[in-house]
Amino acid sequence: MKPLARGAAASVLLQLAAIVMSSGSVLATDDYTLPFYNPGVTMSYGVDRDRTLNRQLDWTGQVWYDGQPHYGRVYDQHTGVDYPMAVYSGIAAAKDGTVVDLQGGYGTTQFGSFGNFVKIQHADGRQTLYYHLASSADGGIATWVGAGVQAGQWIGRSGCSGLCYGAHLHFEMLAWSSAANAFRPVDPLAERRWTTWPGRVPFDAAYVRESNPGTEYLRRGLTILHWVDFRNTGGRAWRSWGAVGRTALATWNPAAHASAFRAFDWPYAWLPTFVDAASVPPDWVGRFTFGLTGSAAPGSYSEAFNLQAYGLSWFDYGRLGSYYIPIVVTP
Amino acid sequence: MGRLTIPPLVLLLILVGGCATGGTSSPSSSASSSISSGPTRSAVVRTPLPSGFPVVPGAIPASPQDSDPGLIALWESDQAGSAAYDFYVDALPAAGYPIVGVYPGGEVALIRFLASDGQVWQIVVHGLADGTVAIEVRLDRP
Repeated sequence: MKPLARGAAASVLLQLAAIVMSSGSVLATDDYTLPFYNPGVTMSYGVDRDRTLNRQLDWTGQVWYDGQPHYGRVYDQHTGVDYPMAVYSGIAAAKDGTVVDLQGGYGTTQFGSFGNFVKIQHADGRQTLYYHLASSADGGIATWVGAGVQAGQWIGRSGCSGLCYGAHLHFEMLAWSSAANAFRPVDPLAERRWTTWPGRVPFDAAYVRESNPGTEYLRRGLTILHWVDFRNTGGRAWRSWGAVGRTALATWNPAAHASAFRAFDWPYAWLPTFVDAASVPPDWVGRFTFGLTGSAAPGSYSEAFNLQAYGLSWFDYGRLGSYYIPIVVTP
Repeated sequence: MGRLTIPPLVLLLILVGGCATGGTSSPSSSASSSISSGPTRSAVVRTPLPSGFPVVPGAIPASPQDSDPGLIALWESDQAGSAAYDFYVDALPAAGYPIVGVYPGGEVALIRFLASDGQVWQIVVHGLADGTVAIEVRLDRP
């Protein structure tokens, strides 16, 4: 390649890199995800990026010269991001880390200056804070100081403790400030700290296709192969390795029941398989391949399956397309 | 949890003596607490609050020294911060005012709902320096 052409190619590559970087996605699959499981939740107020009293800089870049609340944007001197959610909703760790502080002694809806919270230290030096949780007695705190937590791990339940005007989660990201010699709030949106822009829940999926979308006919005692594809619409990469967090296809309705169609390749009676590929980044499609054996008595059946981040959390079955396989066992 | 700050408007509040509407404080209470500008104030034309508009039990009508025409009604309540928010989340739809958005927070709660004329109004609940809460009904603003 001539130097000129090489230079032009390098320029194109740099532009492509800039485009990818500006899209705020793709490259950050190991970074932060939204700290809850319900993908329908949207924020009510973001961080005020301008600490001046009565001057608010919201996450879109707009400046407000007042002390009024601006829904979906900001209120004055807000240090975190508020997410409305019903009391007792599941709260997830936004990234791998270690719990360094928590409080669970206040009532789930006890109003006052202090509330229940979990604080996690992350390897990148940042901390995340999950505020207004339900009380320990109500299951609001599902971890302990010193515990190592994985991204997406259930750490507690939401509430309305402390300074709380309506049930919500106050999520705060803290970074060390040398000037202040202390941790200071930063805006995760401004820093594009989410794995996908503008942030996704850790685990979410959408049905794409399967080997046989109709009824599977199983001769009693024989095994067939079945596969199903789901798109990773969550914020965390799916993976087939590691003791905890692997993406599994598992029986549903009821959750994790022993299946009458377990084939020899199933790791457990309730778990047909983990995702086939080693890694499935957000927006990619992952395949789950497994056998079905006609062990049950001849007749018609329906076997439902859901995805699970193994040992961490189930996916939302409804958003998965309420996936099930109609099965007929023949003699 | 964010820091507690008080909007300048709130600091200018002057309480109006007396009880909540008609001594009752049920959701069906009449909204006679709608703000009326006193004779010494400039004539601010405010949208009237419909009769029968839900009022938080025990809320006391208040009047601002404020010329904001978007403000329709104002009360003060000594209930917990989330009580007024929870009350209106239930009471507005029950009274025929569909909710179009809820925005709870650490210092303020805002509910957007459809008024009878089809316009969007807001309930805004925020804390006051004395530990009570202010409850505003106002025209929608961004």
